[in-house]
Amino acid sequence: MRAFGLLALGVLVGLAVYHVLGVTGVSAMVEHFHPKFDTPDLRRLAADENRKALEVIFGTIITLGGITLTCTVGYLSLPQERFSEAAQRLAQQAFGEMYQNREESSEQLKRAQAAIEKNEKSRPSLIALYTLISIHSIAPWTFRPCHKQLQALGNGLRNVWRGTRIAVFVRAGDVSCVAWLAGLTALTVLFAALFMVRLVALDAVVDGPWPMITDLAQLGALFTLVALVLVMGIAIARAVTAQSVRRAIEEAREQEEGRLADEATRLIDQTGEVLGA
Amino acid sequence: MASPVDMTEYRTMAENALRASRATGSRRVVSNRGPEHARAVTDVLVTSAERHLAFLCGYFSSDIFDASKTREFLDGPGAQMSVLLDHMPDAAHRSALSELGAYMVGDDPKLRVRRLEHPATVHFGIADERDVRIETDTQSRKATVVFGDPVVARSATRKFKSLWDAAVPVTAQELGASATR
Repeated sequence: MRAFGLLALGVLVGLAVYHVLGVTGVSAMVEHFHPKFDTPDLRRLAADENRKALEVIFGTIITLGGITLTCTVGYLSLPQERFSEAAQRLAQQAFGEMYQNREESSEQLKRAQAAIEKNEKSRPSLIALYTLISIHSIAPWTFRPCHKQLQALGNGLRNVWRGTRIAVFVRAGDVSCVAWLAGLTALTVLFAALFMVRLVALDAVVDGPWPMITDLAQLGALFTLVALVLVMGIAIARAVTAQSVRRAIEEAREQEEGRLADEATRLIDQTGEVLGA
Repeated sequence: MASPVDMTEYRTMAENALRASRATGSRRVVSNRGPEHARAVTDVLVTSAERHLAFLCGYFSSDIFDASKTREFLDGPGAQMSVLLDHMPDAAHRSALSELGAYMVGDDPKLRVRRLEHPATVHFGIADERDVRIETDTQSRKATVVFGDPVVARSATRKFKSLWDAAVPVTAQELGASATR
């Protein structure tokens, strides 16, 4: 996916260079040196067309570049591991064979529910549930996954809020979510531009086809800039949340591992007593 | 039943835990459930051991212990392995020891086997007096694997030695093991 992002950026830069050097450069040369542009009126007309063409080219580049940059930044801000193997191990200990079926999230949810119903409301269970939220595959617009399980854990709205926060920030880094955000941005731009063109700013009869497209591109640039800032903000908040969850997982891991090791040592000691050794 | 992908992931997790314990010098614990996990984690213990392996087990089942990996370990310089059995293997209970008879012969055999007079309630394995796998439920093969905890390892080693001294030596012939490698 990183490669796709870089490839998209490369293609955009290539297009920009081609347009500036090839299309616009050649037009300028023709405008200056071709005998048919000798009259001042024609020269002015050609210069005007050239300016409009440049606006379109750069506006389109800015729009496409903004969307691509939004997707790339959103993706790159996603840490490449999902709450580490320590969390997976903890989830396995809390919910049985979770590790063996990581892909089957609905099955995992049932196990989580069963574990909670058995009143296993320990800290590792809680952390394991947060881990489950972080690996649970959901639609980008679902901001309340595992809501029932979180409520069953008790502790009022605090758990639900924390689970929701984790879900939002984990989803925000997902490729599907970033693509969704980019698509939403593009749609917003289209509707806003349409609105501007039809009702507010532009008169298609007077301005002709070029300014309509030019303004669409400029609006696109503005909206993608807003989307970019939004994604970066989410990425930062997500990193902070991930850090706190990771620390909690590490603490719970140490507690759980200590308990297991103590239990194992006690069992070994008891074996000797049983055998009279 | 776990898929091959799941088992690969589980094995990788166990290897990473072992590596992390070596790198940080701290304890790492992995849970193991069922015979497939038991086999994977026992493989990790056997392949990572350098000098000494000790196992208190039922009959050194070939379902859990891989004879070829054990052979690789025993072929290493200065390698020693002690196995305490709960009971002798038979036709219904195939033991990996039957393929390791060649290591049990001589004045200073690399593989020594003894049998307990009364079956143990808990089985465990110790690698280099550093890493321990403790089977808390011998029927379901549920176990806790503790990598790099000297306190747990010392306790297990002490217990193993006391049980070993009270156990009865077993020869390759008694196991029906082949004496060729």
